[in-house]
Amino acid sequence: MSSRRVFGFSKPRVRTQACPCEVRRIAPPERVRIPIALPGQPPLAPAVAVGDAVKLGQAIAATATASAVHATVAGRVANIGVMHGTDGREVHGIEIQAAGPQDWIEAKVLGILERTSWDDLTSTLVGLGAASPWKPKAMQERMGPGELRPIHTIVIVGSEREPGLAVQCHYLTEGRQDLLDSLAVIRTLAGEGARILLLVPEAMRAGLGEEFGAIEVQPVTDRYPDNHWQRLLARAAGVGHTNVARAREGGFLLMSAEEAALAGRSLREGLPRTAKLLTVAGGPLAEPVTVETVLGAPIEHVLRELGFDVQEGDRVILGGLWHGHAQFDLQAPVTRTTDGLQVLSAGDVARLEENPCINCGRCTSVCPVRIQVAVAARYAEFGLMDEAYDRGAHACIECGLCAHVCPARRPLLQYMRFAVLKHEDCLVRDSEGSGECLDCKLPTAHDLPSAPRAESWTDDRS
Amino acid sequence: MSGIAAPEASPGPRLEVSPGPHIARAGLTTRRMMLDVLIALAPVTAVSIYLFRWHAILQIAIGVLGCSLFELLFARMRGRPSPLGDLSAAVTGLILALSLPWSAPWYVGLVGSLVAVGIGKVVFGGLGQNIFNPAMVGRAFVMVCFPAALGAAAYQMAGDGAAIVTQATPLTAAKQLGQSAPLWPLLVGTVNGSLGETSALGCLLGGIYLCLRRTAAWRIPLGIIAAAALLGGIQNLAAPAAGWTVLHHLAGGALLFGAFFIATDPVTSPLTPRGMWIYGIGIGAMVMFLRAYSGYPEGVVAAVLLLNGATPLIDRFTIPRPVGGPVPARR
Repeated sequence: MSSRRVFGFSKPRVRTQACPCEVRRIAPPERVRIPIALPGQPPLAPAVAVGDAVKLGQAIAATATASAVHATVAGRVANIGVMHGTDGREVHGIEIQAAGPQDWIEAKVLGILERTSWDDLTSTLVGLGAASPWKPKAMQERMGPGELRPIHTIVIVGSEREPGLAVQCHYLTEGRQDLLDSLAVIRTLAGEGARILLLVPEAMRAGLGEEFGAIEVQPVTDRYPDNHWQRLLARAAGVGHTNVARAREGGFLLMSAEEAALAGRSLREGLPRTAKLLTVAGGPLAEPVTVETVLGAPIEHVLRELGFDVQEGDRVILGGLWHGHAQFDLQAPVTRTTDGLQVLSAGDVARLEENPCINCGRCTSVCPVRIQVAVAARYAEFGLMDEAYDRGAHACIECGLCAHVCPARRPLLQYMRFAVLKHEDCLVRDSEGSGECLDCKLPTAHDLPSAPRAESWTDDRS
Repeated sequence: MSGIAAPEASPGPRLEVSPGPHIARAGLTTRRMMLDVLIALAPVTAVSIYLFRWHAILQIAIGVLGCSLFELLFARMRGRPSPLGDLSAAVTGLILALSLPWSAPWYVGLVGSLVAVGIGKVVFGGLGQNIFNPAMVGRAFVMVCFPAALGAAAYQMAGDGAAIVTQATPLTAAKQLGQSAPLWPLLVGTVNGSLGETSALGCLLGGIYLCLRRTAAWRIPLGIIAAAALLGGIQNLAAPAAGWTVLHHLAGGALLFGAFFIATDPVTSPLTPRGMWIYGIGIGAMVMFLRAYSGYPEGVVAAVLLLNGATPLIDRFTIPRPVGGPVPARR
């Protein structure tokens, strides 16, 4: 991470560092906690009871329309209940205590891709826990209209979620075969008309050979926040701004290279995915390292394996330094979307404070989506959401630059997130897809094009 | 359904939680910005002390101590912790003092401080909430209350200081007597006037420092200077005989002092670049209008206060169009 200093003012110019080649594998944890729902959505039904013995890779929860969730250690189900998600919101989860030999369930390997029927392929994917949007026919009948929209553009993000992380790049180098396998499956499922975009960091574009064939490989900048997912989706769609939460509804599928590659590996091996790569930094580590652990592993386990000694008052962040979430509990689990784990000692970070805004306008000039942040955040602080949206709060991509440059150290990202969450609530309450929130009548229609746009990948900022 | 783990069931070190971003910028605080203003005011403060000796020291002491004292007093009354640490009271006090004539009696600075902090800032809710520049509120108040102590004649008194204090201020001389002034003293500051306004070079030096540190938005002083230069040029073309050129307009009076140190107060100036241009050009034009047509020789105080009042409107008028467009109108 670097910044350019101009007369004492550092202009954030954050770049992703080169991909460290080695992935350190660490011992499996003694206990895992696996969330079985996304925050704000109904949980999956547990398929096991407390006390049951489970094998590695055994399905522990599923519903009629969603992919299954699997045990990532073999042992006994210790608990089923409410836990805290990465962002502190409560989610349902299952806790498994590791015990006995770490035996896998029986692998279910499919035959040659071309000869596999749609139902076999999709039901295998769903059964393996790949977050596949393509479902077997029997499942489709039970799905809502939004989930059934045809997918016309698949965006696979091979750039990192945030600066300082090095997870996705491993699937463009070592793990490339998994990604290629996955792309072949995606091509089959999506059909010929669909457009598949693989976004890779500029620096890695040259290293990617011809093997990607018909896949459109597009270089993306390593400049934060231009490589933020919200911006990438907007660029792929050729629109100014859009919400990742609405991508599926607009016929877009957005997934990380890791998500895609591990689905490919699952399919090849016939075993569900348990692995998760994580870039760990801080503490005793001179350089960040990328480790492979399992989903649901407590962060305490990861940190202990790497020789961390977390002290009173330290800040432990799941995700990146920009919009990752500080954890209050070292038992918090590693989840599918957490690409980073960082420990900052007390005193490393200046605290945010409830200082008054002095109206300097730095947040407004640094905002990549041109929100009048100073005013919007004050409106959001006092719950005046209409006024906050008038100042552009709905367009926020939560990059955190505003809070970074704030001399009053106001928790601007928090206020903006509040406004964005309120707006997302509206999207959820637009249950019929009528384009309007049931409660507040705020328009919710997505602005994504209904067909792929071949010419739309353009760099709108440079 | 039972909870997997309540927080108290997970022993471990107590961790600090905070929203992101988790990246520190140590050197950037409100206090540091205020300190920058104090540093930037050092050249003009030095010039004023050189010219007016202990008169200047006395006024500055009254202003800074007065504002700090009242700030502390009002904080106590509101049951708030001492806000002196952010140095904003010191900045207000220093700017107020530097805007007074050397001859002002002690109570002028004190009353000005009381009004600047009390009416200018605290009644609105303290730092960041005020609409008008506190120092200018105090200055306007004493200007109305003590016209004799702050009028043109007050500058021109036989004192015990340097010979400068017996001259009329350059703007007064130009307005009332139609005299032009040599340019060099206006630039260096060896002329009569309010404490801080005399030296154009001192203002420039401090102002450029402020802009480079980005404590002040460069668009505001540039807008003011550009508007004043344009209107001053027109005026000079219309009446070349007066000998009062564009440079006289810029270097004489409080224009540069106001442009760099008063108008750039972030709290009372607009947020967006477009708004800053409107605000700066508005102040510059207003100052020139008041200089030409009002009864006062100078118009910085009134111009700044007027545009301060327009700032919320300017902010509303210059809401940037967010990427992807604004929220569509409700049905």
